[in-house]
Amino acid sequence: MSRRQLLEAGALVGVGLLTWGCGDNYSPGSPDGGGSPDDSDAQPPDNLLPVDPSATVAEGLLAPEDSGTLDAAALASLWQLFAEIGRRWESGAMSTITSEAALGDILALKTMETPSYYTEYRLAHGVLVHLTGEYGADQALDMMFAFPADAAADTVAGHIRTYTLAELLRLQVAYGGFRRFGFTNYPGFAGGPLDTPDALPYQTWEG
Amino acid sequence: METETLIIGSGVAGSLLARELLRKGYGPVLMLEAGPAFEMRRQRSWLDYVMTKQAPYSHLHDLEADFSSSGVAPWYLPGGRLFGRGGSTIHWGGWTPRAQPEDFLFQTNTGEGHDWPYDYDALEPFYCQAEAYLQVAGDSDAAPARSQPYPLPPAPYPASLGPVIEAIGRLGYSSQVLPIARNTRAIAGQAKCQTIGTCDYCPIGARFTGDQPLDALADNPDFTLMLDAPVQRLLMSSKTEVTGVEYLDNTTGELHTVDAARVFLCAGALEIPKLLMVSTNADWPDGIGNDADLVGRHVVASPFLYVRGQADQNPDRLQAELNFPTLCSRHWDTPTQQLDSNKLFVTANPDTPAVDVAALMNQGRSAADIDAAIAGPMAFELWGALQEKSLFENRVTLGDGTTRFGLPQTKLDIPRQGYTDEVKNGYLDLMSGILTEAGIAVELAIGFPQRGDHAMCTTRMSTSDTDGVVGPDLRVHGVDNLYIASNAVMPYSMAANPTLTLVAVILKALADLPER
Repeated sequence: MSRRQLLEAGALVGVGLLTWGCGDNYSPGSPDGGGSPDDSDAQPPDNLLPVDPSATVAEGLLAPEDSGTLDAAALASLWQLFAEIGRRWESGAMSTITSEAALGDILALKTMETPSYYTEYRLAHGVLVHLTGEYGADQALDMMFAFPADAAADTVAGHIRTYTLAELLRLQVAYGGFRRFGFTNYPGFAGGPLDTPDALPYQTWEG
Repeated sequence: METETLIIGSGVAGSLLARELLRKGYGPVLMLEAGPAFEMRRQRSWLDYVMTKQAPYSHLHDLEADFSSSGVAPWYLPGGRLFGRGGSTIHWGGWTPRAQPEDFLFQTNTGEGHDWPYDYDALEPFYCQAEAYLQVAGDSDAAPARSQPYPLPPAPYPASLGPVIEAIGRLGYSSQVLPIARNTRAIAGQAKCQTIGTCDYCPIGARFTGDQPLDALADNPDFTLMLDAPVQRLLMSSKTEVTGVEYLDNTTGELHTVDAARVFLCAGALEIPKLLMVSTNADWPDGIGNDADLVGRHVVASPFLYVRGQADQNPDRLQAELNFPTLCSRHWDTPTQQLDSNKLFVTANPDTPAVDVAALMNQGRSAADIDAAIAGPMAFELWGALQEKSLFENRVTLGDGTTRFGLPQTKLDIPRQGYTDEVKNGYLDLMSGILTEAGIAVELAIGFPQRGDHAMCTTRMSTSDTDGVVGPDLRVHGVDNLYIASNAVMPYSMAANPTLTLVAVILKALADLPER
C-alpha cells in the first residue's frame, strides 16, 4: 500500500477528536502579525487528508515525493501557526520573519524540493481549518499547540507536532526569536561577521 | 581508460594533490571516489538542519555492518568518517593545531615507538602554507614557534567560556586559542564567517571543506572526478611498477580498468591498507608494500575523553553563541607528558552551555519557564584528545564482506591499548578539576569508544623499508610510481588533530617534485 493509499485509509479511521489540550484554559488573542484566515473563508484543503488529530496515518514524512506550492489558504494557516508561536512565547516581535510572504519564501524550499513537506503542511492546514470551524480560531490554536511532543508517530497529531510545529518552533527561535531570551546570537541566525571588533555578533569574554 | 595521474579518494589530500599536480604539469588527473555526490551550501539542506538539528550527511557514515572490531578497546566507526565527494572534511570541525616539535622525535625522546624522517623545523614552512590553504584563524603568538603569522586572526573568546578560562588560570594551567579553519575574514575566494552557528553544514562555505578545491577544479579540462567508483585493486606490471587500478562502477555494477603513469592513494588510514592488502600478486604475496608486515599495523587514533558537569545556576545567562571552538589547552601536550605517559589536548565543547529554547517550547514550557531554565542549572563540557601510543599489534585488515559503497568491510584488531586506565583516569580527574574550580559539579567523566576520526599510522613514513611503508616523498617503498597521501603515513601518533599536519606533509613532499 502506498503512502497516499495509507493516507486515504487513515482519513477513514476514527472520527472523534481526542481531548488533549481541550482542558487548557489558556485563551490567546489574535496572533500578532495578522494574516490568519477568517473562519468563514477557511476551505478544506484536500478531502483525502484526515482532519481528526487522532486519525491514523503512516509514520514518516507523508508523500515526500509530492512537491508543490502551498495555496494561499494553506500558507495563511502556516503563518497563523508561526505567528502564534511568536505571540505565545513573546518572541514574535524579535523574529526576522515578519510577513506571511517571507515565511512563504522559506517554506517553499520545504515544499518545492524533495523530500517535500507539501503534504505535511496541507495536513496541518486541514486540521487547523477543521478545528477552527468546530471551536473557533483561539481554541483551535490551543488544541494544536497542546498536541503532546510525544504524540504517536502514526497519528495526525504526531505528524503535526513533529513535522510542522516542532520545526516552526526551531525556525522562529533561530530567526531572531531567541533575542526574547536575552541572547545575542543563536545557531541558525546570521549574527554577522567577525571583522568588526567593536560590534561582534556574540557576547565575548572580556578577560 | 587511461590517465597520466590517478588519485584514489576525493578528500582534503586528494584535492590538494590534484591541484598541485595539475599546476606542475602532471595532468590529466583522474580522481576516483567510492562515495556519492554530496551538495554543500544547499539552502534546503541547511534549512532542514536548522529546523531539525539533523546534519544532512549522516547517510554517508559507516554503518554497524561495515566493520568488526575486537580486542581490549574495540572501535566503533559510525560517525567517525564520511564517504562522498570531498571526504571527511565535509563534517570535520576544522581544528588545525600543529603537532608539537617533540612529536617528531618520539623514539629519540622515549626509546620506543618511531621517529619522523624529518623534524618540526623542516616541516614548519609547509605548516605555514598548509594554514593558508586551509584558511586557518589562530593566535600567531601561541606555541609552537612559527615563522609567519596565521593567515587569519582568531575569533575572540565567547563570554560562555569565561568561567573555564578563569579556572584554568587559577589552577596554574596554560590555555590558548584553538587554531581553526574558519574564515574570520574573506579569503581565497571564500565567504567570511557570519557566525551562523551551523558550522557542521555552513551555508556559505566559511569553513574549509574538501568540496571547495574540487569546485575550483571543476572547469579544468585536465581534471575528471568519477563518483561512485570504488577501487577494487591495484594493478602492477612488475614489483616496482603500478599500471593502474580496477574499479567498480556502483551505478552499473560493471568493473573497469584505468591505466595510469602514477597512482596516489588518498582514501584514508583505514581504506588504504585494505586496498594494498587486497592487491596481492606474485611479487607482493602479502599485499603491495607489505613485505615487512607493516601495512595496516600501528593503527591508532586519539581516544576522546568527555567531562560534563553542571553549575547550580547561570545568573549571567551564559549561552554558547559562537558554536565553534576557540579555546584549547596544550598544558599536557609537552615533552614532559611524552616522556612520562601520554599527551592530552584539551578543548571545550563549543555548544555548551546551551538551553535549547525550541525544544523547551516544543515540550510546552512557557516563556517564563524558559527564562528560568536559562538562569538555572548550567551544563558545561570539556573534551580531551588523548595521544594513544601507536602499537604494532593493533591492526586494520580486510573484513569478510563489502560495504554499500563497494569497499571491503573493515576489521580492526586491538589486542593492546596504547595508554593505561591510570593515565586516562588521571586526565579525567584533571579535566574534572577544571570544571570543579569553575564552580561546575562534575556529573560524568568518561572515555568514549574509538570512532577513528583521526585514524593514522597504518602505512607509516620512514626512511627505510624495514620500519615503514612510504618514504618522505610519500612513495611506497619498493614501488616507483605508487604514493600514499593520508593520515596513514603519520610516523607516530600525536594528541593534536592531524589534518593540518597531513596537508603540510603533502606540500613538503610535492616541493621536491619538479615541474614539467
